[in-house]
Amino acid sequence: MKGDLRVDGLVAGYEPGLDIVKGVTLAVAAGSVVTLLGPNGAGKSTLLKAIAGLVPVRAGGIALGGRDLATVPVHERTTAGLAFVPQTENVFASLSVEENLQIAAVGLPRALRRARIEAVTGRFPDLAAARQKPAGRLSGGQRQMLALGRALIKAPAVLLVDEPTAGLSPRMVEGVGAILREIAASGPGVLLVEQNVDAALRIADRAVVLVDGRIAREAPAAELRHDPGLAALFLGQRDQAA
Amino acid sequence: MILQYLGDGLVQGAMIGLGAVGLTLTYAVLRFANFAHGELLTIGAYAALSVLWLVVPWLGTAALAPFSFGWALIVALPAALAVTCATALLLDRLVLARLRAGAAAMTVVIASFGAALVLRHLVVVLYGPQPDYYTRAIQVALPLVPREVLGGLRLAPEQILVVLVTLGVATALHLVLTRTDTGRAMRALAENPQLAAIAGIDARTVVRRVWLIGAGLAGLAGVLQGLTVQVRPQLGFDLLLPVFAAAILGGIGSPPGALAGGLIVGIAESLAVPLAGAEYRQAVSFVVLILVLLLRPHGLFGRAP
Repeated sequence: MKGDLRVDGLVAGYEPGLDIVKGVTLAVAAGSVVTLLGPNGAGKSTLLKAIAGLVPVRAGGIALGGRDLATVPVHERTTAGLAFVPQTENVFASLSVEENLQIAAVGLPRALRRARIEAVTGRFPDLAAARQKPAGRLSGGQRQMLALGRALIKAPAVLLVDEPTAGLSPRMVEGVGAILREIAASGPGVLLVEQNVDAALRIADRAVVLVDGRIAREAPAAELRHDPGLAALFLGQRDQAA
Repeated sequence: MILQYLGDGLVQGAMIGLGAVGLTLTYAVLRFANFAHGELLTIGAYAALSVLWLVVPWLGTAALAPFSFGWALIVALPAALAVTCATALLLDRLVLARLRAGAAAMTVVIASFGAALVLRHLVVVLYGPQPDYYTRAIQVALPLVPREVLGGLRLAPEQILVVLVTLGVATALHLVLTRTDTGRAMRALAENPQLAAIAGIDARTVVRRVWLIGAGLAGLAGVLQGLTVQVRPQLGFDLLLPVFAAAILGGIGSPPGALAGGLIVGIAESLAVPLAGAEYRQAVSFVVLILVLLLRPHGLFGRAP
């Protein structure tokens, strides 16, 4: 599945009258990684959730490959080509690894389902070795692999990933970054929210900095890595951004 | 006599377990305690009775040996389950789904309690308060264990059928929950509704299937209770507390736990008769419930939230 994600003037928030995302416009091209940066509370995760359909959208549009997604129910966005990996509780802990992947493959023809599951377990060998293990007993890194694998089962056009490196060791952070690059190289666009600014800018092609629900800066990731002005946007995280 | 009490408890526990499995399944996915679940047992029992009256002129009342019932009840059973499922879906559509969408959890529970009262009195209006029977034929108990061994054990073929049907249904349900897309979707939705939606699961479809399975099991339990005891408007209400006790004892949300809980409650109630007296039947089962919860606060098969 291929197609660019376009978000136009998106306004979203949990409570009526309390907008968190305040008119964001951005695009994620197929095969590219775009990272959303910004201080805590800037609205990064809320923006991802709004695109996924989990937070009410009050204005603006979301289109994937030209198809308007704004009114598409959450469960149908997967079929439309959108996959979302939440930061926490992103696997079904009581279900086995195999069952987590089976759940994501519902609706696919039997042969394709088997092929996709094999492809995921081939990409993440740790999962292959733990197929019958309850997902709740996986390590943090293995859970992230499973969550990414689940999201990839239906060959999405765009992958929304919320802080995949949170709580992982530096080695795992590198690994997740490499996997996201690899995923993008295989076709889908990736929209990544990441608190680890250094890691995010190494993974991404472009970066969008959100401050108070609005885009404060947008530039190629390589350019922002050496931009001393980025630190000023982060308030308390200057050291990391600089 | 101890074997006889155990046997009787096993039969009663099987029916309680069937009811509890349906209750725990709806609780796990819909996240509210459905007090109208007992009435679904009653609806199932009376729906079978109604169909029985309709088909007896064609199929007759001849019993299928060794049972006391004939083809008429076998034909009536699927119709009764269909009526029970339709009642549950209608109840959900008209009342519970609307409240689940926005009202507090306690409001939904109280609404289900109100719905239970309405359904129970509707049954009284339609059928009257007096008990009825699927068959007037005498159920003859078969000697299974001689009297010399712990007092012996005699069970009617209908009672043996109840245990076998429960085991069969429990096995089938286990396979549905673990081997099918529907079952996995139910478990996924029960664990994390938001992630389930993200994973592409249509909650409305799954909820409908949960109602169908839960109500189907309740209807079956009602028919089996009607067959082995009698059909009466209080049938479901009288079983409601043991059914809740079984679901909680087994670990609310766990179908295998509910079945195990049903068997424990049924046997505890039965053993209470010689040990404490018939008037303490339900009290003893709740003492067992409290003791188990003190040791395992989430029930036998339950998980910490």
